[in-house]
Amino acid sequence: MSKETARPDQPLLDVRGLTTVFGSPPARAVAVDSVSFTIGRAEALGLVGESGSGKTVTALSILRLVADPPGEIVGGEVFFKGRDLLGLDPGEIRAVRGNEISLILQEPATALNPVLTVGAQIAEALSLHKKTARRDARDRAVEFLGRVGIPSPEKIARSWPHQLSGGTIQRAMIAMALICGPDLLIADEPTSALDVTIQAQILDLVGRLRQEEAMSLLLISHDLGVVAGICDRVAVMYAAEIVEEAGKDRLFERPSHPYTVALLRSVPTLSRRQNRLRPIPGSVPRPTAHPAGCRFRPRCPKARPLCAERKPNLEELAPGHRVACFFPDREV
Amino acid sequence: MSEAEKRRSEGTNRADGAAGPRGGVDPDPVAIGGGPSTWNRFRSQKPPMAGLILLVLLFVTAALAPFLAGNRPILFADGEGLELPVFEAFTQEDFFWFGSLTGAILLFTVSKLLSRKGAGLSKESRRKILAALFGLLTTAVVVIGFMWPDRLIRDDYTPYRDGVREAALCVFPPVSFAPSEVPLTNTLDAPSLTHIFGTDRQGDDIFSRMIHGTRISLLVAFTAILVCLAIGIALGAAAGYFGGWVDVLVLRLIEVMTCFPAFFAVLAVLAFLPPRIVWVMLIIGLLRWPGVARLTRGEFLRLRDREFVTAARAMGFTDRRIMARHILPNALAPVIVSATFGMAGAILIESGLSFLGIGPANCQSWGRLLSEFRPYFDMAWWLSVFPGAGIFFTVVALNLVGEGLRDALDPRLKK
Repeated sequence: MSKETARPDQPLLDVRGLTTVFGSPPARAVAVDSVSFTIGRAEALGLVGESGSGKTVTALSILRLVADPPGEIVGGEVFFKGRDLLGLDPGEIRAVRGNEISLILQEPATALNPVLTVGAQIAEALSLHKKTARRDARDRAVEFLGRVGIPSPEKIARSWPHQLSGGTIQRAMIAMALICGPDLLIADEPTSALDVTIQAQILDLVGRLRQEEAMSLLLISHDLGVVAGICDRVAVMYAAEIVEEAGKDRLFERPSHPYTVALLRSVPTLSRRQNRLRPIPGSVPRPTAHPAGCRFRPRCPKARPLCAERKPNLEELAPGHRVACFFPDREV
Repeated sequence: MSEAEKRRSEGTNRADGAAGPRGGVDPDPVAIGGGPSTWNRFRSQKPPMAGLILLVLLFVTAALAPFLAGNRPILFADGEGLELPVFEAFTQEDFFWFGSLTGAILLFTVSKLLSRKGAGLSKESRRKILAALFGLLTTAVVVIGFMWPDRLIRDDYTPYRDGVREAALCVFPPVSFAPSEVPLTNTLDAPSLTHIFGTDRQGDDIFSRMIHGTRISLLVAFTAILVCLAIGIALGAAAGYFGGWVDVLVLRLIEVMTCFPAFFAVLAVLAFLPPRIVWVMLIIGLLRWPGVARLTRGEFLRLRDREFVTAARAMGFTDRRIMARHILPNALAPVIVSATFGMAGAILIESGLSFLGIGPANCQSWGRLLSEFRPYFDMAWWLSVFPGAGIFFTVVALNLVGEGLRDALDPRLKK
């Protein structure tokens, strides 16, 4: 890449103050609010949060795929290899999509075009971005279908999506996402629609391919267990904001934000003796009406008057561990 | 576990790539692709098949009109070797029709031959060969057609038909009368063995006129619907995909167009144009696209937020490619169905116009034939019944095919 200005110490993806809204002022919903995070080369970041916390919109905003109208990215920068993706013209961003940054969506059942064969769809991306001849692109597609663990890839390449199961389609989607050799893979709940055994296989595959290709990964999930398996760092999102971010081990051992603590308590574990799960009372606030002050305050067991007055900023608690809380848990 | 989840997990257990013993492919051989299964579903319905057969017969009739009805022998021999007098009077129009039928038969035969198991060709190369052949045939027909000579001096063979002269060999078409001989004898004859549909006020054979009139009906139907589809799909797709002001603009345009009563608008516009059948076809197409546009818009609107479209955008495809290759094929089913009904409508409008005496006077259309019966309605029933039945059956056939297509393409009926 000629435009590549990245230095080795510079992160591959640097999201700063990304803000995405839906609708116009009277009923404007802020889906992503000043979100900042970085992903280094060959690093895997997990983005965790409840449904409606803005994870998917964050992913779509990075590639500028938010439908406009009604959605609009109103602020922030997304630096990828030193270039601000939000400032690129339509042709330039198209050259990034699928080529340098790939996206895997969560619903495999509808993610492939029902009227094209699986092989044709995978090959299409390659002939578009790498100008590969159609026959070669097809061969590569078959090769990649094999790499993602599909038996008899030749046969699958000639199949139509409705003939395949969810697990096979998700593998095909991974093949499609990886065929152009992207530097960053964004996987938006890649396993939520699959059953547990297939889930484990797919996660295994994503983790293995990431290592093989030295590729960065942004894994979005509502499931802490999924993220724990393959990510280096984890960011927790709540009500359109990142509330805590830390290395994986530290986050699971020493969660500091009350929301993270509550989230971890609501997940069943085998290692720890636990009588009953503790769900978090209440639900995520509507994005049209975020509470003033700390957004988690209405559901927080540790809330104090200060929390209603001011909003806590994301501040460094320890090296690499940032948390947005006035009263973080310093020890567990 | 909800019903949907249950189905999904069953599906996964059965056919997942890693876990399933069958290698991930549904073993159902019928369900390969949209094409064959759609055709199978269409074929299993009797009335639409009857309609389709009737339409194919009409096309063949139109293409072979000079061989089916005319006053020139197909084969003629009188001492100086074998002659083919039909071709002497073959016009450019005759050639275009004949050429397209020959081309269609050739293409069909070749595609059948290629898809036989022994040919050992991949689907892609088969498609390539057929596309090349199609291009070649089209060019050939167009080039030869435009170079086709219109001969003005023609021998008159009617004495051989009428038994005045005799030749060694003289094979006339089944209906041995030209559509416009104007003999001025045998006028308004009732149906008989010689003229099975009777004759008109100038003594011309009604059956012969109807055979030649098939062309106008089919041409009007196809051209009008092509114009309709081209405009309707382009505008509807843009409106549905882009939304915003494009959508508003197209919708307002549709509303304005729907306000015109199509038939009277055609009438009004034609009053200012030279009476040529091309104008009739174009104007019917230009006035009837809103239906197609609205359907296409709806489909694009429904499909544009589907995950596979988001996935296509995430792969970096251009809007044009996404619209043409990813959304349009998924949106086509209802459009094709409405196009079939639209063809029936176009035929009716053309017949209505001809019936009112608007449109080209020299053209042999069923509607014009029908209009001639007015002065004789109490004495020559055959003037109205046969052309009327022709229009009726064609329109019914098109509607049957449309309904059959709708059922065959309906995904809810897929097993």
